[in-house]
Amino acid sequence: MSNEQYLIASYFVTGALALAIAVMTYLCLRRSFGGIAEAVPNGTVGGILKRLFLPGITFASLAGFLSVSFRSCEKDTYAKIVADRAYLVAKNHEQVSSSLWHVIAALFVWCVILLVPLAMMRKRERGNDS
Amino acid sequence: MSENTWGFVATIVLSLGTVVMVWALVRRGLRALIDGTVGIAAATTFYARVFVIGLLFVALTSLLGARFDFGPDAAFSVLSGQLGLSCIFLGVYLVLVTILAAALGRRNEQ
Repeated sequence: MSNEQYLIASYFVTGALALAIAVMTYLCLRRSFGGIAEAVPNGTVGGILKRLFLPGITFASLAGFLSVSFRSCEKDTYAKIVADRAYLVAKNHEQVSSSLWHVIAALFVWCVILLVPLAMMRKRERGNDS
Repeated sequence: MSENTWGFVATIVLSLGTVVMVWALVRRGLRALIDGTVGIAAATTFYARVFVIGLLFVALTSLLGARFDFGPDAAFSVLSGQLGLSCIFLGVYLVLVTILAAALGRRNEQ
């Protein structure tokens, strides 16, 4: 396989991997996230949150994958990039790594977002108690 | 197997071992804290899983940055990077749990 073929094939494989990371994370958290969303007093908000969870993680993962540029100070032309197989492999690693970081960041954002309905729920509970 | 292969296998085992160790250390306390604060089983599971997934992804990120041809001076550089990043992750997660506890307060047990 030539380096040019490797570049094209690895780009799609890494993209698929980024997508798989997002989907696996979603599958791992789907039920517990749904449980929180269903516990929210306002059913519409819970429904919206549930529907946004998958795109929220998938877009973050893909954003991380797409954010990596093959150009660098040393490799500023297509010919220089394609000439070095080790450089291409390192960039693939960087794409997956960036994807993982973006998913971690997205999960933190979701944790913070979930605080709002949870706080609303707690406020309602306290209102009922008093 | 060559020394490089052994080194890489040892790095993977140590990286994943660190994740398991941290999880084993904080699992009960973390679940009890979240359960005592939120009071929804699904929320406890969600926040606990986010913790594990985050730690695992930090470990994978560090492993992806590793070069297979270890030099004589770079024996544990991957692990060093992972531990540093794990500390940052733990710090951010701690802030998150603190915000959670401050925002919701202790739930009424009645």
